[in-house]
Amino acid sequence: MTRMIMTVDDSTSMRQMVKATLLSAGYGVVEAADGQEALEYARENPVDLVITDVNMPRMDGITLVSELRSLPTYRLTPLLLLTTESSMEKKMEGKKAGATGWLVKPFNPAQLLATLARVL
Amino acid sequence: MSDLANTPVAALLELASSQLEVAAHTTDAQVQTLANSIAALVTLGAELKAASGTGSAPGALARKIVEEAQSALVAMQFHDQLVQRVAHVRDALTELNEALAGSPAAQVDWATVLAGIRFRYSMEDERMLFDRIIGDTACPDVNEHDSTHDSLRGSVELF
Repeated sequence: MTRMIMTVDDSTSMRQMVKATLLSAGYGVVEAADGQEALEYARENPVDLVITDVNMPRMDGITLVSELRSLPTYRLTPLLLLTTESSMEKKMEGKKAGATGWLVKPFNPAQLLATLARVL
Repeated sequence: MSDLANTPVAALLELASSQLEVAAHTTDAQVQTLANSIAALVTLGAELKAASGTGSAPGALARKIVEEAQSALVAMQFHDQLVQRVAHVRDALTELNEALAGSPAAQVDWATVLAGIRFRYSMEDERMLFDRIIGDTACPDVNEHDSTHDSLRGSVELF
């Protein structure tokens, strides 16, 4: 069965880059433009993994991770933050919210796929 | 201008200029990579087409195409960073404008204004540039600075 991954980013081009990488490896992909949209979709449609940006309008990525972790369906789901943000404080915020990992943009496609293989 | 003496206004304007210069310089390099990759993809596509006509195995060409496409994909992501950098410069100039519109420069709470500008940054090299210029108004070596945090880019940390 195809694993379904959600990519969350307010940048359309970034979502396209992530989507192209995931599709090339045979994953199914669903997109959301911010945390709120992602949360609303994920509540009704469970996904196998979430890759989210941090700084987004309406709901940021760290809040999204925290909200998803509070749902029983997402207690063990890998939740990855993919961001330009590399400060230790933000990283610790992400970890505290329940993120599985922290990836700094720009991502390397091969490295992203290797990371997914490790956490799925 | 005497009203602005002993304020960080000059340093903030220098910072905005340097942030834009970093953005432009970084984008130039990545657009060049993107152009090279696209050119290589066109050439490889033509070679693949020719190879398929002769019945030879196109595996090596396909691998090269994937490598070039991945290289283009990494380069393309710098557009996202450029947009963020420019937005942060815009926000900083807006804050500066609002601070100066509200009261005489000498009475502005510059520490709060500066903290607000720095807080908006999302990239480590933006903070480094801020610290160098606002902490020390000497003109920074923008190109050298931009490469300082290359090691953080593309890094992965699993918790």
